[in-house]
Amino acid sequence: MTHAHVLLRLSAYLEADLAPAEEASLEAHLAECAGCAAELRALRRAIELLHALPAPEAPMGIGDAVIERLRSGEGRPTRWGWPLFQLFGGESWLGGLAPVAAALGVGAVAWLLTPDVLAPVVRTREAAATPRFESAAPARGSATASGLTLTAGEKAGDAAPDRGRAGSLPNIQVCLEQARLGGGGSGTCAPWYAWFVAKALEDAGGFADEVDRLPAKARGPWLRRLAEFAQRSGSTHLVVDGLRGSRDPGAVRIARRFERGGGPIRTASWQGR
Amino acid sequence: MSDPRVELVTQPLWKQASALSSSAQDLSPSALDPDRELVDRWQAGDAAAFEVLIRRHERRVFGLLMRMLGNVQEAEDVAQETFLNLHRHGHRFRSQSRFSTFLYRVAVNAALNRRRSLGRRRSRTEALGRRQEAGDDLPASPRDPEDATAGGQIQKQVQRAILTLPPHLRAPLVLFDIEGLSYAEVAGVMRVAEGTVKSRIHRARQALRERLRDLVDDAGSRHAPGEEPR
Repeated sequence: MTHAHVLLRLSAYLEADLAPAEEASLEAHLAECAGCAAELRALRRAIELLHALPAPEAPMGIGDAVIERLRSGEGRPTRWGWPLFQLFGGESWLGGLAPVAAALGVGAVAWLLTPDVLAPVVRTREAAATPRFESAAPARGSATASGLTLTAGEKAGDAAPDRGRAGSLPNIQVCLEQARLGGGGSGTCAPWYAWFVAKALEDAGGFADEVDRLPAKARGPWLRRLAEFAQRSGSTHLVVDGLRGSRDPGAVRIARRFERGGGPIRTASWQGR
Repeated sequence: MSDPRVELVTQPLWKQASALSSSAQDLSPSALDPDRELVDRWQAGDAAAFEVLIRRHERRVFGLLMRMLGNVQEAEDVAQETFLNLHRHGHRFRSQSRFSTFLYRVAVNAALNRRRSLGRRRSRTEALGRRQEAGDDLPASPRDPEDATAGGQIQKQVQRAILTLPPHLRAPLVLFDIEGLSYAEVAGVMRVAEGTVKSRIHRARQALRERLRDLVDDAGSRHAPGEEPR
């Protein structure tokens, strides 16, 4: 592998987006080439600087101004301007084939992922012995995996776990349904994600088993949800081992992205920022 | 009969997910779109629903446009135009993709059109870029990101560097690395192939890395690939 080829592939490498053979070849090159390794570090730092940018402060009144203009008659629906609109900024009605299918289901919990809901207090492995998410903590019980009585390997039909310790956590389906209906905004469902992280901390192998037992079509959205939560709560180091131990290539890829400092993972594009 | 909305967690993760996936038959992007109900109401003539959509998304639209345009006034103007355009033509939106993807597309294109409308005039941001290329008008570049004051300067420097990128590289970089969209979502917004998105993101990152070399290079020296560090 040449230096030029390595440099072209560094970004994909950070996103764990290379085929295994190419990845191994690139890593072998990086181990030998100090210059390319330095380039990788520099690229990673540049990405970190992007991640560190705060969200711009929106001026007050954008929405008010738009609504005012709409009420005054601007922006009336029109058919004649449509071709121009489509050309310069509109929607392709073949959008049903659009690759946003990759984001199946992930927008359902957008409201959950607000910074205030996910105020991180987990910073180090030591401090995270009992992960706490202050505004998201269950009403009773702790957010540790055992505290929520959700253990790896339970089989259908097992006796119900300890309800008392489960506190007031809602059913995850309810969380999803609320989000689908555009509701939410509270941190009601956030303990679920605290549990994910805690589970990974407590039993990485069991966590990986849980992931692998998810139905294939549900696994991707769950993983992305977890990944975003881990990133927003500063807990990626807690879930890396669990993700890496999974047989799911998507989980392993996310673990690598975390380790390498790749781009952020967002399950929902809009709400919560 | 217990209220399902306050039902306690009694199932392991895999079982919950199984139930979820079996109950959610419609897994199309639009079916899981949190805006779907509002969009349906708006398209049925409910003006209030569109106002809710505006409130819900105005911050994100503005943030995206700020990254794209680098100027508060311009970003605010284009954000308003984005929503007005959406209202003019969005009744044709068929919910085949998520509403937010559609809105991103309208906003990004509005930003790009804004630049085109400037004609041959150099925009303020381009002027900034030229000064930066020349090493002029840049703040000091302290290397310690922990320093709060320095942090603010670094953020300004990063934002300026973003603005020097050509629009076709800037948009995917902002969408992927700042807004956190997936490759597929960026491809949907930009209406280009996913491979093109990956290529542009890589080129944008490399360009950004070059513009920020005083911040991101290893301390002491810079060495070319194939050379041993000094």
